[in-house]
Amino acid sequence: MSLLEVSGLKLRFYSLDGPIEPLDRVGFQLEEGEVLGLVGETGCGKSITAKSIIKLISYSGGEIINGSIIFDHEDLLSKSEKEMQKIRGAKISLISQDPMTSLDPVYRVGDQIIEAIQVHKKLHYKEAKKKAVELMRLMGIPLPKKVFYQYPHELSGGMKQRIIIAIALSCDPALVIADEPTTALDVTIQAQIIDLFNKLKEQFQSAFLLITHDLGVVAQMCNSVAIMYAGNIVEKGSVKKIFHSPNHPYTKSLLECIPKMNQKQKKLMAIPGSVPHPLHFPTGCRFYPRCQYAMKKCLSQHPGLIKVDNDHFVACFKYSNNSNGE
Amino acid sequence: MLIHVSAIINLFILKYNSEGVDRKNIGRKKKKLKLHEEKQYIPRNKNRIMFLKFKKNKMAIVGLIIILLLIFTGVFSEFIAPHSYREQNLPLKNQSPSPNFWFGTDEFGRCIFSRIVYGARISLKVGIISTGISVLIGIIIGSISAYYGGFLDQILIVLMDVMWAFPTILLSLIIVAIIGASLNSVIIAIALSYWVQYARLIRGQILSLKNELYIEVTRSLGANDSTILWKHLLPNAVIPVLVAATLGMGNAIVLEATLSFLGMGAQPPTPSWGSMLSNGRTYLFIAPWSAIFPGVATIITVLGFNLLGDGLRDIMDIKMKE
Repeated sequence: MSLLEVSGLKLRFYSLDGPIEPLDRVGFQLEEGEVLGLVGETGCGKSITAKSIIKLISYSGGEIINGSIIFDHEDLLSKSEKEMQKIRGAKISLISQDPMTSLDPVYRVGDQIIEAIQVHKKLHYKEAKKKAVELMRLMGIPLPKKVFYQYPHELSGGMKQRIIIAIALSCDPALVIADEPTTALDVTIQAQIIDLFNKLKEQFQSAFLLITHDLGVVAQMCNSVAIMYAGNIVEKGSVKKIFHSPNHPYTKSLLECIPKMNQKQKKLMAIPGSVPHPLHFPTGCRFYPRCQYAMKKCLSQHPGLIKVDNDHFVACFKYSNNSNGE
Repeated sequence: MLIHVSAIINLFILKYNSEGVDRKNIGRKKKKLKLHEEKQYIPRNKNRIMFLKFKKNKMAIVGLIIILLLIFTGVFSEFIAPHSYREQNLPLKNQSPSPNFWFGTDEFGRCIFSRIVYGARISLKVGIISTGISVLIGIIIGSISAYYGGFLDQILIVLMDVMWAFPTILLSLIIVAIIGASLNSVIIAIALSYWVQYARLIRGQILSLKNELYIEVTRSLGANDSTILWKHLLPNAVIPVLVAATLGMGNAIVLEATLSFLGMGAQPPTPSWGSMLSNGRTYLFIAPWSAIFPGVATIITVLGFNLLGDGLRDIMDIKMKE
């Protein structure tokens, strides 16, 4: 049994133009201590997948209408809000996208770490403070005792992200969902944060769900990858398999979009067209309008995930046995 | 409650203190180097800029001085007033201002200056307590309405609109008429007439703040509704309310004077400025000072609160950056 099993997840938002279903048939597993990368373009539904896992999606106006989320042998979808509050932060924690606005501006950062500890553990202020300073030191924050007393506006983006990671890890969660933890940071800080993550995943033995659109980050950190496109998972498998033998046309194009240092390239590949709006998702395969291998079947039918290899799945009719390829 | 106070105090006062520490240490380089590990360097920040802006704002400073004087007068009335506020001296009634009676005497021969000094205490008491109560009611109702939304919000909005539709004086007159004329009922009446503006203000603030990322982050850490609302939303939302409360204190004092003028407020011999005005009105042509001085005192006090409130609003408004 895996630590986290998401299957058949379907979300619905109600907009003025009618209901939107940005996620459909999203499913993946995460073993203990594993690092799974969830990769996709902006707007493909990565962040709402993360929010659905800890059931914060209802606060954004969404509703889970189908699927199951099983975490540590427990069905999260049947849990009440009170029970979820005990899980959030303690067993599953979320690192959000933008470190600049993730901290409450009126409290000192140290107190915010302490608050995160005290929500779940009955510790005195002094003990909690000791733990907070220890955590800050672990995050590579210089002079943690000084930074403890500083306000968020006095810290740089990288420092704030370290504080947020410290808050997320303060209760030794079994699963850490990192929602684009490096997007808002510049490249050097990104590298530092990724190094920090690599160090932490050994120390804390938590499983990580890393949401990103940076394939480089995935290659450095993850064990396995799930590629998302327009609310579907189009391909998933181990990092090696996805990077060396990508199967889905979308994954292939994505990898071709990355400039290679050892080859002379005149022009980078670009995927024609753009991601469809959730209101107008194509029926059948959602990549169909942009796919160079599109078949008639793709227009009307959804392929579903097809097993191509041991732990390598792809959602494309190209690989189903009863079709004849291009 | 304590944690809010500490958060706000942290934000406003500690900053200035640490700035002061830094400035003191400029001359002592050796000591500063030694203390480098412990002493924190605090960069020029928003609050520091606010403080500088406040210092530049002359009118706000004037307002602050007026209010500080008023508070001083109110607290030390016994030592400032040359006479008792209730001691009647009928042979000396309606005397014009003289070295003995600075502002003259009223129709019972009481010293108007002393009565005004004691009246400052009444005005302050009414201003602070009634505004405090209405801010409290406003914060509780406004924040609950904004945070939980939905049907509860609808009901509370209707309640606020209904309260808002009443003219303030009429509403407070009704309340005083129901519970009986006294200073305490005036305080309650003013509090119940003014809470709506604070409720609306805080509701608007929290509606915009509750979608901030740090609220979502706090929720993702397992915080419950009350922690999020009282510990994280409120301290972030309360500053405009404090500004409005400063302005509102002036209004409350005027309303108290109005009610006392109409005979619905503090009962004699309590030296309320409004009732002094009301009494002096009868003798306006014989002893104009008995109406003029309480009026002037009211005007200056309200002016002080308004100047300070305007100044605070100017410096708190982030959009008005230079």
